[in-house]
Amino acid sequence: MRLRQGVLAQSIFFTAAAIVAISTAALLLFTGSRGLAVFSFMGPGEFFLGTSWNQNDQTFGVLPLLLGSLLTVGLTLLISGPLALGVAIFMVEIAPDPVRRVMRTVVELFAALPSVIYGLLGLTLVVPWVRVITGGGLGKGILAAVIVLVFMTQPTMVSIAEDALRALPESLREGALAVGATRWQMIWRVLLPAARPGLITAVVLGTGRAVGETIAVQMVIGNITSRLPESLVRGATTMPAAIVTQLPEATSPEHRAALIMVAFLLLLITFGLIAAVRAAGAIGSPRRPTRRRRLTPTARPAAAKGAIDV
Amino acid sequence: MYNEPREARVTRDVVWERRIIAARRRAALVDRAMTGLLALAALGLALVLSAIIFIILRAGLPALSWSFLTSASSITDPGGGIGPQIFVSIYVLVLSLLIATPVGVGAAIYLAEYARPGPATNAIRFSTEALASVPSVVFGVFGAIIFLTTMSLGFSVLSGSLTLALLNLPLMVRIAEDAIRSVPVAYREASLALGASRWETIRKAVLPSALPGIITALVLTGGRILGETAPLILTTGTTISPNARYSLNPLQTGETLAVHIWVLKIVGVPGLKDAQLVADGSAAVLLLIVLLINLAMAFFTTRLTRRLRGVGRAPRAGGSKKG
Repeated sequence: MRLRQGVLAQSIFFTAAAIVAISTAALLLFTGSRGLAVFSFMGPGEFFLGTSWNQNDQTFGVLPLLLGSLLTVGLTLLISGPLALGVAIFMVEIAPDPVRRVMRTVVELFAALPSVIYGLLGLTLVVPWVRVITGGGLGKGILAAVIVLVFMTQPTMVSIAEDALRALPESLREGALAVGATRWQMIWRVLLPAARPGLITAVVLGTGRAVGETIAVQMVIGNITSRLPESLVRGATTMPAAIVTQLPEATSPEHRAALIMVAFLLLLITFGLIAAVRAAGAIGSPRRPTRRRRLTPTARPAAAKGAIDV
Repeated sequence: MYNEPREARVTRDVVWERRIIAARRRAALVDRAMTGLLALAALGLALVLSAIIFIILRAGLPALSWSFLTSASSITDPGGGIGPQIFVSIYVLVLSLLIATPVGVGAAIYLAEYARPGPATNAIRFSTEALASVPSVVFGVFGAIIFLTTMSLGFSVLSGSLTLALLNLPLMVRIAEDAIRSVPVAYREASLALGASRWETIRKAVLPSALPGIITALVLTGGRILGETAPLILTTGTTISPNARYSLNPLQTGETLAVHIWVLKIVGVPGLKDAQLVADGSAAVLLLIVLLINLAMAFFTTRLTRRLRGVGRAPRAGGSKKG
């Protein structure tokens, strides 16, 4: 009886875990297959190199979306990367304990704010401000999206960079200070190079956050898909923003397939970023590879045995 | 060198010394400047957060009243409320937690207690990690394909809840697994030594002391569900049918509070004069809920951990100060 109960429990838990794995596979499979269906309507060249996305004349070139995302995310990183790094350094190396605790709460709250609230503030504060400094126009565009995203990417980047800096051995700091370095020299010449893999991870995961952000960007970017982004203060779009704007009202199969294909591209980009993080971790920290290498000798004899048996 | 006059040697030393002093002074200056700059960055971030909270609350608090929170929204006359939206938000929250919790916690138990290294475990781990990195809008698209079209549930509360359950699975698995793993091995050993089976050990020794962590997972997930917008626009829709406002039918379309803000500001409700006020009020409600959740988490996780693990009753250094 007890044995049967145990077996039943184990199989239930395994099913739960299997559901997670199957969901991921289904996600890839369904978005992939439905998205790739777009190539039965148009050639890959037309899709990937087309400079106009216009559902009225059924042209779906992904470049306006792709370039919009690229510009938005790139500019965001240029500002938010150094800012997050600075805040993380301040929290680990400079701030006294109570200040550090306050800063951690600040970062956590930035992460907890719903994106629609960022979007609302972008719409009521940032967009009018952009309108004023450019002297006309709608104010919606890449610049407004970048300003909103800089703050939305802070929590991810700051918390990972903070962990990376905190994980450094104390002896690095002591050594640097002992040879007469000032605190900044210690940070700049010793700590930052030593923490590089962790800092790269922080930036990459922040990139993931920026690439995937939908609603806040959609609210302030203007959602112009029919042409390439012209300037930072004119309407543009990003991949997620285009999906959420157009999918609910997409009726033609071409349009739906094209939008799902954009979602699939987004999926591939984020998986690529995760792979990049893993690569950075493998290159950066010398400990992990050795641990992995130690595993292989035990695996290899087993594999060799199997080969002999065959 | 050796036949250099003594004076020349001395002047050279003095020159070097001066250079070193100047370099040190420069380094000290740079150090101070950078310290100031870094502090400024942190201060700026804190100020922006306070400004965000202040602005949202200042704009939204005047709109709040009991009738605003409970009455139905109007698309024509000013004075409408957000009652139905709050109802749908809670409905989606409860339904998706009901779906996600058994799967998420079950998977966490499997990974922490049963899984042996091997390809199956690797696949599960990798897929959890991969799923965690997927942007929420992609889950929305997936939900629109699977639940709306393939399973023909249409735009509905059920489609949205299923999508959000999927979206939150990785976070839930990760936190719950950490909680289960952090239960001391001694608990398991003691239980097994008393003759309990593995399942009895998990049920009676491991899960009770992992409960605070699992509750943390639920609350964090809940907070995310309340703020989620993009996947819901694609799966539950953006309207509430007027004749099914507080209906429990999961196949109704729905509009959560967060989606309501988006609809008011972006899609627009042409006839409604106080749309801005309703949006501000909704944002204030959403913000207050989020702040409340975070405050509660900060206060209760430590206390909950102590009580549920039975540590609170045992006298501990520092523990007696508060009591």
